[in-house]
Amino acid sequence: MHTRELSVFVENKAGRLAVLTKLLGQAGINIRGFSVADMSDYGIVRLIVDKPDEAAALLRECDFIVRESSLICVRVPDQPGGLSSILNMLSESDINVEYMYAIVDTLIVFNVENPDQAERLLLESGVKVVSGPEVYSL
Amino acid sequence: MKMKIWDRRRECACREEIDELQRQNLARTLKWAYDNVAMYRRRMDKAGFDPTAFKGPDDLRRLPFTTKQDLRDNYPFGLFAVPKDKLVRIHSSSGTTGKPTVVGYTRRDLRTWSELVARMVTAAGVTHRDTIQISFGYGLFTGGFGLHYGMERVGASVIPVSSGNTQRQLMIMQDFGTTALVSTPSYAMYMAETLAEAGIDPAGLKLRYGLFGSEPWSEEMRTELEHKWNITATDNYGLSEIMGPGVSGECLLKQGMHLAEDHFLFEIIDPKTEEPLPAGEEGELVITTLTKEALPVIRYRTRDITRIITDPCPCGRTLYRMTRVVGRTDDMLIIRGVNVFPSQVESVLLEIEGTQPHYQLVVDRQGQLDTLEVWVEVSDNLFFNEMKRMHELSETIRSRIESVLGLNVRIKLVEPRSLARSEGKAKRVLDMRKK
Repeated sequence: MHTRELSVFVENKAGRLAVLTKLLGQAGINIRGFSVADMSDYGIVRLIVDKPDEAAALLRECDFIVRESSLICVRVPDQPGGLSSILNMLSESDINVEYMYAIVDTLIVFNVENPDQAERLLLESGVKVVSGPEVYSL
Repeated sequence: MKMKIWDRRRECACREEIDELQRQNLARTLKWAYDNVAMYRRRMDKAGFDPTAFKGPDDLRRLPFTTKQDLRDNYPFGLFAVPKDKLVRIHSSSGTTGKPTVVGYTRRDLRTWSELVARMVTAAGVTHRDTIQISFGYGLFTGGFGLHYGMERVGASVIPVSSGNTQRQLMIMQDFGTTALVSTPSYAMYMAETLAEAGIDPAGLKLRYGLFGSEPWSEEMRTELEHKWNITATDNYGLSEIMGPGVSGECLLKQGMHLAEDHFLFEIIDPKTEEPLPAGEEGELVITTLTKEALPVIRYRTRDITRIITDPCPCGRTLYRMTRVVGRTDDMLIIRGVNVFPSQVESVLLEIEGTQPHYQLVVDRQGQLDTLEVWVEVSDNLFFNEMKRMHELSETIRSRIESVLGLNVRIKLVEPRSLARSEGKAKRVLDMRKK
């Protein structure tokens, strides 16, 4: 089961991230992972939360533009070459990584072209793939 | 300061004389329009207006306004009052938002035009001893040819450089000994910057005067241009539907543009109620031609906001003046001399986004040139979770808008509902050039 991610368009203005996180906090939504990709005028805030449906509805209600994606979450072996071994597997199968970031401890989420294929591949290679519900309750 | 006056008899006439001249010419123009232009005949008949029983300018208020749309509806020659063989010149607008507006001149119209431009450039300091560099575009645009013939009428040496190729402009300016520059104010700024980069000292040039027009500019910009070029800079005004440049222009006192009241009748109206406003109040300028043969125009709504100054000018001219154009009643923007309509941007966004876009044009003047930014609110159709695709989106919007407008733009994506909306209708334009 993939991990759902919410991408939110946020202008580069003071306080916008604070507003976003406060909204989620007040609604009792817990942020499990977080990343920001930014350009000069705006950024894309990527969120892994415990209640993705509620969070998306809430943000849309507050005039944020939200896009959902399915990511795979991988437990990276906590040793030298750990991340490299996983990236090698993907590249050898020609699966392109759009972006990735670390969430709670050594878990890293990946946005790849073909999540199902990538997940199968990694599972078969003995990599620990973490399911969405597991991530939310970490 | 000793100032030359081109046509002292007309430009310094007493008010009674101007009033009487306007009354006579207006009567003749109304009759001319009634007899020769179907649209005006229909409109006068409908208003129960008898041009032969015309008493004075107050009667004019019973007639409807003429708009740019009327010219478009009668494209190309429907409002002309003379057969085509009487025309000696045809000009036209760029027609960026539909059918262009076409204007024509008889031999006498061209003579009047040259005469009025001669008057205007003399007031701006030009004499037969000057060498004039005309850096307005030549072609269908009335600016280049209008100034050209007027300058020749004065007897100045005219260099018809046209616009563009700044390096060559500067070379000619130095080598030919240009004493007066005719251009848009923003192009003059740009040229000044190039001049500084080339390390040329403006004090070493022969340039004395700058005659700038065809786009709105400010007092701050005048000060800067005068300083950068070491010249005296004046403003002038005109529009092709009425004639072209020469409708009004500043004298060297630079306190308003003297109106050619012997050839045009000027009214100021409230653009909303369309009622005439008392003298001295700011409103929309409405012009009626008094001597035009080929294209008489009755109560033309210029969409330009200005104020008429009736106080006498210390230069000796008795003709009233108008202030700098402070804005336009519709949304048309003039950016670097190019007419820009928000609707053009809207149609591009609509094409890309597939729904009604929320956007704003932000116009500013940074350093030398006008800048245009288009702010677009993101929506479900205009947002991707990958930066690469967001970047592609911005680029697509930018290149499409640039190809439609012919101007460089910067695209800024903003959050939904972050752009100003007034009474539900979005404010499409934020023009920060106006001080």
